[in-house]
Amino acid sequence: MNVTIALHLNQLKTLSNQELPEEVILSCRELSRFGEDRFEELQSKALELFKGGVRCVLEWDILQTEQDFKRTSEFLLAQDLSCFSAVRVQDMGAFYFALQHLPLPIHLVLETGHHNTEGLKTLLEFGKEKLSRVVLSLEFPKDKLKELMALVRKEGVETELLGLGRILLFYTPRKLLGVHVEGGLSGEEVVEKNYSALATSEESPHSGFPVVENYHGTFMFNTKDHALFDQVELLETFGLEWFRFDGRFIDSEKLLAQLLATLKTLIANYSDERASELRQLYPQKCIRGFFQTNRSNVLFPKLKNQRIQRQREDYLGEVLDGAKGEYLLIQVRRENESIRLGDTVTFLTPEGKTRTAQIRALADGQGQSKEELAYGQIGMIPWVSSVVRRSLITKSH
Amino acid sequence: MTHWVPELLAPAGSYDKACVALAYGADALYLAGQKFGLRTAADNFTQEELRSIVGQAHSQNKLIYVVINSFLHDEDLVELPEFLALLEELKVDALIVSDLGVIQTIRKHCQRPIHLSTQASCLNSSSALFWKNFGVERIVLGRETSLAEARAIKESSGLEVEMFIHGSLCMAYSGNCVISNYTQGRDSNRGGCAHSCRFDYSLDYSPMGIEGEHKAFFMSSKDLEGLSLLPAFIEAGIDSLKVEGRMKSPHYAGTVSKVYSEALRFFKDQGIGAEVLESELYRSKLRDWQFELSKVVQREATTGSLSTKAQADSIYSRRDKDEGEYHVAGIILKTYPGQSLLVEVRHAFETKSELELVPFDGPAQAFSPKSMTDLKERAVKRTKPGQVIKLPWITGAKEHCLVRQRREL
Repeated sequence: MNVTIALHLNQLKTLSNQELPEEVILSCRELSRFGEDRFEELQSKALELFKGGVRCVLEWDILQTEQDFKRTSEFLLAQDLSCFSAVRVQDMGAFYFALQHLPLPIHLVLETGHHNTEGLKTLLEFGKEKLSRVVLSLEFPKDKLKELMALVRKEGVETELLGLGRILLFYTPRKLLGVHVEGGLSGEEVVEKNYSALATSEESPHSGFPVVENYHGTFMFNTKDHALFDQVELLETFGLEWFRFDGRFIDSEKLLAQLLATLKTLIANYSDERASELRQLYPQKCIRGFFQTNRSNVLFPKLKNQRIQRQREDYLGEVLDGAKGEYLLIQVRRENESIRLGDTVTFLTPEGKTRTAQIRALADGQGQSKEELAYGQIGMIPWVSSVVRRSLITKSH
Repeated sequence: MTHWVPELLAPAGSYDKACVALAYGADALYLAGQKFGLRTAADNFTQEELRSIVGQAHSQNKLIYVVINSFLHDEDLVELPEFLALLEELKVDALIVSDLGVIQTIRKHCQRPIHLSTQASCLNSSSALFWKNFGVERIVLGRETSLAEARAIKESSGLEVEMFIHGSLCMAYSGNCVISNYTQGRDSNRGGCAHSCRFDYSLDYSPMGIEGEHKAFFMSSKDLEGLSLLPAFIEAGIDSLKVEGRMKSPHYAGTVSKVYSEALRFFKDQGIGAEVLESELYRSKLRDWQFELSKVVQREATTGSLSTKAQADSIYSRRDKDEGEYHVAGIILKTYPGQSLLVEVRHAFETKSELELVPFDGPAQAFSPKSMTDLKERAVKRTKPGQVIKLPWITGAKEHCLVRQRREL
């Protein structure tokens, strides 16, 4: 397993080639969400690193609408990219453009919304000429990561995972912070400056979300960073090729160098002591995210009252209203079904009560006696104790 | 002579809302089954309801698009083929999808046309062409795209394009927000969005060396209202105009469908020539349509990025929505022509209340329910929400018609 690190150019100035890992991800303002440097500066640094044996990956991860995308793609076509070992893309438009037009292997970032094998297989096949690496989502638990890494490796493509760094929660092209700092400035007036803040809401169980506004928009990060450095032995057995350290938000140059050195050593020769050392050094609290398990859909059933779900096979209709001790107003809501005088039906109330009753009288909404209520029809039946509006009517078993 | 106008695509979070939106003029509906559709908390549709609404829509030459736009994990995909078989059998008119794995599964199991959901954040023609490789026939563009860009994407990709014209906006690029995943344990891209962007935040600028905190709803977006740009949508050849709001009320579904369908009919008859757009008739109609829209609950309006990129002035700095001048007093459940109406009460009203029947076409009719009764013909002076009451017959009343009431100030 190798380390790849994302850094700004000013951070690179303080690190020797020996201190760097085999690969550096470079971000420029023209192409990257967090890019601060100009492409030209990046190009010359990449060339210098290339000569020193360090590979440089060009990051192109901004999301752009047609006009900006066109400008960026034309800009890229006019550049000498030979100093870069690969281009790193997330937008499927950028992926498709890179496949067709850029003379570089592609690292495809699948961290957002690519969570199944079928989609991954399709992308591997579609990009097979140039796709050399996929960056897998942090939302995969370890068992799925193991399975997918094996699948990707079989296709001759490498895998990468964010091993240490900020977790991006939110990305908008709109400028959301500067307007508050600058006291009423809006729109284009505040675009040229970077802003950062910590956001806390009484409505969230967490506090202090780092928020950054820059040239490309506004970004919110999790309160805790993602760290899998204590899992490197396991990840190695999975066949993970690239462990990414996003160092761009580490302010101290000295600390960055320490962290990188410790991480490189840890990955070359893992020990719990070194992992503990790294944990001590790292300036933010960390989590493993969904690495152990992803149960982010288990709460869904609680978003609705499960007692009155209409997809039951025995569903007939619903209670629309009632007058205590007198009548229930009901509607047949299942096609090809009816409720007839003399039928026995079961009512399921929103509170979870079950009541079974025989239909001993039936009338339409005008009070006229009826033998049967067909699909869509509304009718009155005698009151049934505890049954309230929105109760389901089901066949009695 | 009639002129070309786009399709009006309305949201249907439930069977009842679907009936209302169809009745008030939507050309097509988008809706979801019990799974896969990103609005887990909505009623959504059972198999039987799907069957029924498809039949109802097709009998009126209207279309039903089924939303399968969650980013599905492998375990979610297992149940998809069975659902696809049903959709194939029902001949729904398209499936709205955001995930490549889902698209491939669809292509293996059914022949329904595929529309790419806005959730995939398709923003440029290169991206549209990428998706075209996988059989996508229509792109629901990311809401950051302008009308001019949409036109360019349509022309260069050869695909149909659909754009949102009305409703709530995500502040984030769709599909690129996972706040709920990490803070609430609910996958926002599988239907568990907790709307954290609508929260009130306290912003601490100490990382910039600025002291003090600033309270703000800094991530909340104003709502999209593209009514005034409708001629530009038509001019750009946008194939379908989408209204957001599967979680919203029947009042919203009915009012928005009615206003936009009336506006589209106007342009179908009149065209979008300068003489039309500069006419007093159009100006007066536009004022009426905007006034009608103001009657439903909504946030302050923005045109988003339709003309120029949305910026700080598109932030909605409050929690509460504008309540709208009116609320829905009830929905007509059943008509007994010449005799009476059964009305399901949504907001309480009295016999002396001034109500309006909102017909499917044309202006609202004011009336006062001078006599109302319960189902046992006993007089009711004041209704209760949830109650079903009987009103005297009103000419023009039909099932699913809205009855609305001006809010008391």
